[in-house]
Amino acid sequence: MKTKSVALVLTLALALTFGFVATPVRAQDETLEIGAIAWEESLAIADLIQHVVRTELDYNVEVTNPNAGVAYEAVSNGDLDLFLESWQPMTQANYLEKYNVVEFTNFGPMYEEAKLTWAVPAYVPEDKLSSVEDLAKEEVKEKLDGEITGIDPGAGIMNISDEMMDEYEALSDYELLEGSGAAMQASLKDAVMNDEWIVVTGWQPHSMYGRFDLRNLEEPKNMLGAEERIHMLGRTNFVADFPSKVSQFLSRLYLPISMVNNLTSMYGDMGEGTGAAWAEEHPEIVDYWVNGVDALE
Amino acid sequence: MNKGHNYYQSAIVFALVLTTILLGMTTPGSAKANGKIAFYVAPETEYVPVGELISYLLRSKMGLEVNKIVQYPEVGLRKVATGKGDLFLGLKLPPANETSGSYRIYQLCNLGPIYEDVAAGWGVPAYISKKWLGSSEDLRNEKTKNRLHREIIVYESDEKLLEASREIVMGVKGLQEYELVELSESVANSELERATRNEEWIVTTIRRPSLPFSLHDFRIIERLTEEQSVHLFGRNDLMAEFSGEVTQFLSRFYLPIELVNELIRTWDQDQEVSVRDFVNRHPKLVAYWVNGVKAL
Repeated sequence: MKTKSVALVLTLALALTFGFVATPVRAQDETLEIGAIAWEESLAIADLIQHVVRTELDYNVEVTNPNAGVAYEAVSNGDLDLFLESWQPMTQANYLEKYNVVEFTNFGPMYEEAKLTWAVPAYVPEDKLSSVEDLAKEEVKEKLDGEITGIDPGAGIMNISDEMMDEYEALSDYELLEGSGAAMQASLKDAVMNDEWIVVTGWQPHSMYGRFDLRNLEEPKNMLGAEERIHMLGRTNFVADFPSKVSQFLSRLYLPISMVNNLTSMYGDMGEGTGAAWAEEHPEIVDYWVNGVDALE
Repeated sequence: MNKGHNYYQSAIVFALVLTTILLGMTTPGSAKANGKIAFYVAPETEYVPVGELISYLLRSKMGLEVNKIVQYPEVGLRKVATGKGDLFLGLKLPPANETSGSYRIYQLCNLGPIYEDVAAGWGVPAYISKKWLGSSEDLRNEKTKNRLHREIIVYESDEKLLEASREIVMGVKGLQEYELVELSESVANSELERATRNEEWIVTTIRRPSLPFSLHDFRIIERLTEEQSVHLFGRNDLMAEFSGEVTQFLSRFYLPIELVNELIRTWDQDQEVSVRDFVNRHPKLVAYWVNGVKAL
């Protein structure tokens, strides 16, 4: 009996030893560090990725919430493994130009049909305010207290909104308020509850479109740009440094915009845990992301 | 013919001329405008069949007229970066050398990896058991040395792998006894063919994916290069110029390396039917690329 126990212990020790030897470039106890801007759609997707990587790929994940500028810098110098929200080709063009993005690991578009917006509640009469140019009207200026409610400084929409403030004569008496996504939504909620006028900077997909009845302002100079695509950017040598199951999952991860809206809306209601709930609702999609062609054939 | 009728005819002619002018003014390669796509593919064994697969699907599933142009990467990338081309296939990332030229990567729409696990190194055919030759460590074993006749076959045309092989053989204890046998591509392929037919032991420099790799079911025992991915690139305004059906197909297109090797092998056997047969063999994968999540 004792001999048997010794043999068992030896076998286990050997198995453990070879287990460690056979571990890929990064050990299982290392961590995938993800940067997700504190915007709902980004947090929702981060929650989903975190869930799948932890439960299906057995790899640790940590999520932080840098702004876009910090995220590009951190991916560039290797402090961050993955940034979830690279808006291309226009919104974050300044960062794409500044950093040597050929060194980044670009996993391609995660979703498309995204768009930057300036929006107002639908009850604001369209005949009075339907375009950025209408902001020049005295009556409109007064109703809005000369304010455009923005989000966090450094965000692509804020950089472009800043440029719009200079470019549009109609905005010469307005101030672009800096804050955060959450603060913008709180202001929007207050305004809607009191039937007040407000202009917010935003984008689609965004849960505010699900929560409130909003209308996008026309923007005749097209500075907000056309539809954008959202890429995931990894640090240099991501593919070589992480197990292929992780990089291949990220390469396969792609969502139609309708599902991003759905996921974002769920996150708005549930917060953390959304990823697990969504994955449970869509096992066939997660199966393909994780197992690739083996899930199909 | 009365005067009114002449006015009517003139109006039709004017409308036709105007339509022709307006059509002529549309951006080249704009599928929304003219249903055409200009696709640049680098002239390498691995890219040509994959490029043909993408072209075949764009034609047969999206109804596009595909102008596939086999061209050197520098030219193809420049064309796409300047909007004179729509798609480019033929760049591995991270790049092995400093990229140069009149384009910058951020001027392109990087559609992401379409396959990964691209690597090169010393390879052995699968019939040699991993138990005996699982890694380059095993090359130090005396029995292994004898079975390999103390030789490693090196493609002389692949200078990068040749140089890396020299460094390892000269610098690693226990491997100095090996001779690097430098052979031309055709002679090396013949030697590989002969050895695998007789199931003899052989170690050779090899790239994954490649025709020899796919023909002889190789595995790499010593990597000589960093792992890379092959990316598909579009013009930066691809999403604005092409329908969602097209761009989403391109975003979803992704192949495991085994299927790239399969495609290279069947392309070598018969270019006429290779891609069509591939589509027939993998209907679910193709359905996902084309139709997205509703196909799952």
